[in-house]
Amino acid sequence: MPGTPGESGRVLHAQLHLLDRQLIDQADGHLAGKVDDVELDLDADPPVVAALITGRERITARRIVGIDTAVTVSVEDLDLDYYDDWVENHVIAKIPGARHAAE
Amino acid sequence: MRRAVAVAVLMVMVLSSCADPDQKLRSAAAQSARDAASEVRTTQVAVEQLRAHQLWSQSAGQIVGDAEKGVEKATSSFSAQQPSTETSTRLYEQVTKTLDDAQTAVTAVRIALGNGDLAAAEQQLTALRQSGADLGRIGELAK
Amino acid sequence: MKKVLGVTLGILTAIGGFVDIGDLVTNALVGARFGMHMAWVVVVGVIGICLYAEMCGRVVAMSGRPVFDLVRERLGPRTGLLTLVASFLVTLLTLIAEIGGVALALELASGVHYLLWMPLAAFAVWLVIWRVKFSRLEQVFGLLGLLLVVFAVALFKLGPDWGQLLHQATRPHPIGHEDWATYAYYGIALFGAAMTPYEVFFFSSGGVEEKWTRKDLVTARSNVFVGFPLGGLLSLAIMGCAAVLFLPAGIKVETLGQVALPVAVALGKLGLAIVLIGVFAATFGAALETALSCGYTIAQYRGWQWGKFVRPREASRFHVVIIVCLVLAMLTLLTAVDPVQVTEYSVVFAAVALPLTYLPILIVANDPDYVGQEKNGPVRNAVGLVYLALLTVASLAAIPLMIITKGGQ
Repeated sequence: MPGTPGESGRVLHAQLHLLDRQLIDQADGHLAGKVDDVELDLDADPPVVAALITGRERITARRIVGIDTAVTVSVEDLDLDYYDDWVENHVIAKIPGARHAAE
Repeated sequence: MRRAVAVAVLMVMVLSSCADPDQKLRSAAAQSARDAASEVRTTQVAVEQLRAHQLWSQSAGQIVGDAEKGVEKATSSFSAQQPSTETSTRLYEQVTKTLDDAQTAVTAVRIALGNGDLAAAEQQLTALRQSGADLGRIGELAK
Repeated sequence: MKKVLGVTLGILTAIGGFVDIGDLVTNALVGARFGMHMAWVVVVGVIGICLYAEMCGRVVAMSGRPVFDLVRERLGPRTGLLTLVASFLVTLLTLIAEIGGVALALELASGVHYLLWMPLAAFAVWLVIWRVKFSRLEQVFGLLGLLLVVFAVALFKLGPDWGQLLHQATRPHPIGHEDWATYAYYGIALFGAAMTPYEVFFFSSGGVEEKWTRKDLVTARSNVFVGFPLGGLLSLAIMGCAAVLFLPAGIKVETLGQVALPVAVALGKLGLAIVLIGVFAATFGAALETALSCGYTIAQYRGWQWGKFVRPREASRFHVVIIVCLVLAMLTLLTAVDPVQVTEYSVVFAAVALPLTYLPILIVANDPDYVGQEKNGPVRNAVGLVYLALLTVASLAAIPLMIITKGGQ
């Protein structure tokens, strides 16, 4: 995996360890979709992961912060919550109490 | 294995009912009578418990109302049968009468409870017991 | 001390939460038609749910991920989707049955028609999910559901011939007018009622909601291994009441009123009041669990933010799924289908979906990626496989038997 030298060199089975795995936003710990596809850089030897695809967004490998039972990514300017935000603004936020934690 | 047993049982049932129209009516009569007996005895238990102050009247009314619908279902499913022989016609008339009696008794209880008239409901207990016993006998006509 | 309290509370909640409309109706129905001749199915079902719920609890405690999160990952999108669709539809059907059950309990207590109660019940379920904290809703309805212990008290009060009940329980075969086909059909229904899929979705997602870690393994296991078997005993008490009162009288159980009737016979109006509150709590609690499970399955499959541990607006799609499911449940019930009949079908379809639900759990519980050192041992795997075979047979036989017996008539 490219990126900082410290975390490179981990050998992963892309299909077993990355595909369909849960994505987590590093900033707030929110769940941010699944890894729908994995883009490989076949020019490198051995081939390395270039990016993760989720929905309509492409998460480049350098944004991957950690891989455990879920993949933590640094979302920054990516819009992973597009649909969730849409539903939130058009439906859920209009119902009283949506902003408050349950009691 | 279970399926094999089930299929075998089905074959036996289908074959036996195809073979004899009287047998087919007997088994329909037994089925409807057992269904109706269940409702009649439920009504009987409800009235007895009401008399013993073990049950609220609205819950008893609910239970008896459901039982009435059940008896109606059993009665109408049997009346849709087609008796084709003389023996069958006799059985058909006899069973229809027993089912009608059951329905009359259960309906009378439902009306009595709806009017809050527990005494009238209790008066039906004898009819209910009789009806339950008659239906029970018809229920034994076939498996 | 606090820990002991937590464990006790968990166990009590598990007992109360074990019984739902499917268990109430199916156990009473089977007891009335077969006496205790089918009691063994409850035992087999309870062992099965314990086995698999423990695996779920372990996966959650070790990996922090609920079952459905892992289903797609381990089965791939296609098989995963099939599992999702089957499990979701069965859970939705169960939700319909539970809300019908809440409305029927209210009807029995008030005399007001259940169709009038039903929208209110659905709205109340939504409101509780929207506003009440997870741990609180689980505990309140679990503890109130414990009132169903009144069935056990009623059974003692009815003073049955215990020897005869035991005699029936040790002879697993149809009696009277029943044949092997109806016996097998109701055996599968009872199995489906004990192992309903939503129980494992709710259990594993609940572990995440309550932020279980490795330290909570003891709690998870005690809930499963003590709470569920005691819940099973409650099921047997319901069956026993029907076996004592209804089997000799030739009464078939077709309504919720009949399910509660033995308690009134044994304990009078007070008993009836207690059993109706218990039925209300058990069905309302299960309605919450199934509604949440509808949201859990879809959101976890898609990777959406879910759960009650965040504010509703942060898990917007999860909450929309729940609202849509509740509306669907309401519309289905408004067609005036008999909720008891819906219940009977829901437990059979639950049995059909069982292998799809339970296979992924067995796979994940063997994956060191998720459970580390706490993998299944050889014994657990052997028993797990035996159950998977059993579930598959039940699943394949359910629909043909439904057709042959005309839905158990």
